[in-house]
Order: sequence, then structure tokens, then C-alpha cells
Amino acid sequence: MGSEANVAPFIVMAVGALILPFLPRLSRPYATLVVPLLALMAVWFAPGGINLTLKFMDYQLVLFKVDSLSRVFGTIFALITLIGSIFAFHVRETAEQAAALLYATGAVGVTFAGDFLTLFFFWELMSLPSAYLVWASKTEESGRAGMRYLLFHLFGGALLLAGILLHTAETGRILIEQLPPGSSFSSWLILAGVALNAAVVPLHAWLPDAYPKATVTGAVFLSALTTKTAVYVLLRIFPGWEVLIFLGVFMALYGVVFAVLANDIRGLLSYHIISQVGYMVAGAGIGTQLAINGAAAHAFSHILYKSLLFMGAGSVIFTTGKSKMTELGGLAKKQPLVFWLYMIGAFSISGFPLFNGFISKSMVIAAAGEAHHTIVWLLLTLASVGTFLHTGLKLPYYTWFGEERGLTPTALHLNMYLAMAVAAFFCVLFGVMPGLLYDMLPFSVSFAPYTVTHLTETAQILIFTFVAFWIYRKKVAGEAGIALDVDWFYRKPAKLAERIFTVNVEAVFNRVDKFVENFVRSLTAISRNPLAFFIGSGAGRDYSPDDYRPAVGVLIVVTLLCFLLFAGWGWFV
Amino acid sequence: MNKLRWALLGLGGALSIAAGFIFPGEETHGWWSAIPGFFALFGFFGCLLIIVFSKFLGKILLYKREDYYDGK
Repeated sequence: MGSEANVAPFIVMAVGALILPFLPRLSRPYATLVVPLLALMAVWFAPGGINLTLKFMDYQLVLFKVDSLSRVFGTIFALITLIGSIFAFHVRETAEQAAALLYATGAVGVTFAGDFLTLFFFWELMSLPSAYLVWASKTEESGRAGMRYLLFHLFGGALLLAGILLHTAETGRILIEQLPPGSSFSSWLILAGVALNAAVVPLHAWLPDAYPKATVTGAVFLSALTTKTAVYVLLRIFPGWEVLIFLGVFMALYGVVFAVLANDIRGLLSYHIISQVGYMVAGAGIGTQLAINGAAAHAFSHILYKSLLFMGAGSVIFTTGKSKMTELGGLAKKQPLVFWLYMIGAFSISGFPLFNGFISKSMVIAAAGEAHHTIVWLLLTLASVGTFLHTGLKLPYYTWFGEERGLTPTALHLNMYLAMAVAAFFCVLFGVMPGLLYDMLPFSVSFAPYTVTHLTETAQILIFTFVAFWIYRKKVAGEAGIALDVDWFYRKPAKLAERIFTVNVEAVFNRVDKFVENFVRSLTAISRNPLAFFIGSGAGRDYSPDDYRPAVGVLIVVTLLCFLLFAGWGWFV
Repeated sequence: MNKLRWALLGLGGALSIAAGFIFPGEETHGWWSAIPGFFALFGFFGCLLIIVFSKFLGKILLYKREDYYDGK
């Protein structure tokens, strides 16, 4: 055992989640605030290095290892759990509160894991509680989407475990280390498992499928934790894997294209998670110090503004019961505060100067330029045009302006406003004082976001994107219906698979069942009187030997006849 | 969008393009960085490209009814 002076953040979270149901009912919401706050302190006060180990069979597991990269991610995971808990303060569903804390336990556990087994344990710990946050909506749709989500993640977990076991069998090592690019089959397996959680296209379909169906409060945790723990692991294990650059750029653009087609507001935001995580995945792929810093900083910023956007969209759904742009509109005057808080998130994700997206996204893009990936640079810049177009223009326009649909939103809880305000505060704080974030980053790289060139470029892009949107705004309006994604490949064949593996199998079973039943029935009937089967009489009655014996009268007659014959014979002889 | 907002936007756009002329970008990203006003065009046409391409993709392939997966 290492030093006992510090407590691992995942222990704080786990204990919190486990004792929550035993606390007095009204104190539980307060506990959901205290626990992440304590976890945040645990992250900050933990000394660097290995703090907790455990002997497991022949291996020395490292449960709690701290360095600058894990501290950045641990900080933001604990902070966002706190903000999410403020947003969910009014929720009285204990299972949902505990699920959120357990989910966060998994996220911080992965972040501070020093070996692959510990990583896998916490990785899997995230699956079920996060699926529960989808199920907690208690609609038929969310039930099915949650199950698809869970199956997807269990599959990813299986890939990860297979990779880990193979890696350990090959090398005999279990501690987390950087894996050299394309080195072995086991590292590809691990990469596939991690990529699934990072929503790398085409392993992403679970995200826009499940997130829009989660509860209003649960979606905030979902938007922050799963994909970004995967980004952390990519930065930790796979920096410099060139394939990640291409996958990341593809994700960034893929999310943008599909966001055009989205009609559900949280569906649109979900596709922009994929797009934004694409920047981070590309950053991991570039793998230079600036790129790793940029990806970590962007994950940090992203968690703040994306949760703010999900809270804003969630507030609209909470107060109107509507989630589709074709059913929303004209809310700006009725809920101006929600609108402006959302817009702070939108300015941030779009990379407006003075907001936190500006100071982190530009780092990743600059890293691409610095490493002479000029096409990557240009495509990522194009993706940021799309980001502003959807998250900053289309969604707010069609939700709060656009067509007046006579909606009267109900009141929003005070805690929900407060949570958004806290997230908005941090979005602006880090935008205005980027040094606060840069000082936390793993490498000391000097990067100045506020240069004249960068400001000029950004201003031109944003202003003229706006102009293009305004001219063609009718073209981007949401359309009723859904857009297919790669989930088609498993949702559509699901019917066929159901027919083959369930309906047909059942039919065969039924026939066999019926046949056996009939066979047994006739066998039973025959068994009652097998003789009847051969001689044809006596069927339907139980077998009795008397039925087939000659009657007593016959015997007497035969005997008398014999007497007569003998008597007659004696008489004649 | 009232006239004042359009005027402010126009001013901002003009200023940003003018700034591009006064402080030409270092050619670190590619040849285009040296062209003043490149990013104004990039923003405008990039936005257009995304809209047209995505909607095209939606129309020919991806848009389906709401109950697409529920139906037979």
C-alpha cells in the first residue's frame, strides 16, 4: 500500500454513490454536491506519482497514479459532476443520483488508473450507470435506445479486455504505457475498444442514438464523461498514431454534416460532440507536445461548453416538453436567460474570442499547422465553420426565434439556472484568462491564442459564416423525420435477424413441440391397450387380460363335451 | 436583424478584411494564409458547401420518416 495520507477521488465518488441511498431522502441532493466537491479536492491535493497499489495474483496493480495529464482530466470530471449535480438538484430519483455518481466514479477511476486491469474495471463501471441515465426517461424509446447503448459498450469493453489480455500475455506487462503505432494486434484491439467510447466514426452510432433520449439532467453527465475519458486514454496510450489524425478529421466533418440533418436539438448537439471529439482525436494522432496540450485543453473546454449547451437545450425540453426544431420557436422573449446562457456555450464552441473554445480549439489547429498537416488544418477550420453554423446559429435561431408556435414554457428550477451560470462563468473565465488552463497542461509549451492574425481570421470566418447562414437560413431549417446513420446497419437487419433467430426458430420449436405432443398422445393411447392395435377390438378401453380370456361357460361346455365324449366312447367300447 | 445590427456587422466584416490587408498572416498554414480576405470567402463558401452537401446527402439517401425503424 502506498501513502495513506491522500484519498483517491474514485474512492470518494464510489463511497458517495454507495451510501447515497441510505441517507435521509431530503439530504441526498446535498450529498450529490458534496461528493464531487470532495473528489475535486482529492484530485487537487493528491501528490504526483503512484499513491495506491494493490497486489492481485502475480501483478502489482496501480490504482491511483497522478501526473499532470491525469490531473487536468480528473479536475474537469469532478468539476462537471458538481455542475451536473447542481443542474439535477431538484431530481428526487435516488437511482438516478446514484447512477450519476457511479458513472463519475468510473470516469475518474479510468483517469487515475496506472495499469490496464484497473483501467478496464473502471471502464466497464461506466457502462451500466450511464445506460441507466438513458433508461431513466422511462419511455419505450429510451428503453430500447438504452439497451442498444449498453450492448454497444459491452462489445467495446470486450474488445478492450481482449486487447489487454493479449497484450499482457505477449509482453508480461500490465502497467499502462504508450503503445508504439501499429505495433501489434493487441494494441489495435485496445485502440478499437477505446475508439468505440470516443465515438470514432463508424463506431459512433450509439451516441446520437442514446443521448437525445436520456433524461434532461442525465444527458449533461453523458455529454461530459464517456467520450472524454476515451480521449484521455488515447492521449495516454496512443499519441502519434497517424491513423487517428484521419479518423479525427473525418469525425469533425462527419458530425457537421449530420448536424445539418438533425431535427432534435439534443440530436444536433450529439453530432457536435462527435465533431468536437474529432479535434481531440486528431490532436492525439498528431502527437506533438502542442497537439497533446491542445487536445487536453480542448477536452477541458469542451466539457464545460458542451454541458452548458446540453443544459440549455435540456431546459427548453424541460419547460416546453418539445425537443424538435420543427415544433419549437419564438421562445427568446419568454426565456431570455436560458437563451443567453445557451449562447455563451454557443460562442464558446464556435471559437469566439474571449470564450474558452477559442483558446483550446486553436491549439489543436495550430498543432496541425506546426506539424505541416496543411490539409488537416484547412479541414478542421472548415469543421469549425459548421460548428458555428449549427450550434451557434441554426439551433438557437429555430428554437428561440424562427416561427412563433405559441409555446408557453413552464418555470425552470433555480438550481438549473445556477448550474448553467456556473458553467458559463468558467467558459468565459478560461476564455479571458487562458493562462489558468494552460498552466494545468501536461507540457510547458508557450502558445498565444490572441494574435492579430488569429483574431482577424476568426472574425472573417465567423462574420461571413453568419452572412451565409442568414441568406440561406430557410434551407437549414429542421425537417420532420429522422436521418439514417450507421446504426441502420444493425437496426434494420435487426428485424431480419429477429425473423431468422427468433420468429423462425420459434416456429420450428412450435412444430417440433406439436409433433412430439401428438406422438406422445398416440403412444399413450396405444399403450393403454397394445393388443387392440393388432387385433382391432377393445380400443379405447384399458388393457385387461380378462377381456381376451374365454368365458367360464365355454370351459364348462368344453368339459361337459369331453365328459360326453369319454362317456360315449366307454359306452361303445 | 435591424439596420443597426447589419451596420455593425458590415463594419466588423470590413474591419476584419482590412486588418487582413494591414497585417498579412504569416504563411505558416499554407499559401492561402497570405491572401487577405481569404477567410471571409472561406467562411461564406464553407458554410454554403456544408449546407448544400449535407442536404443533398439527406435528400438522396438519409432522410426517412419518423417511424422508419418501427415500421415493417
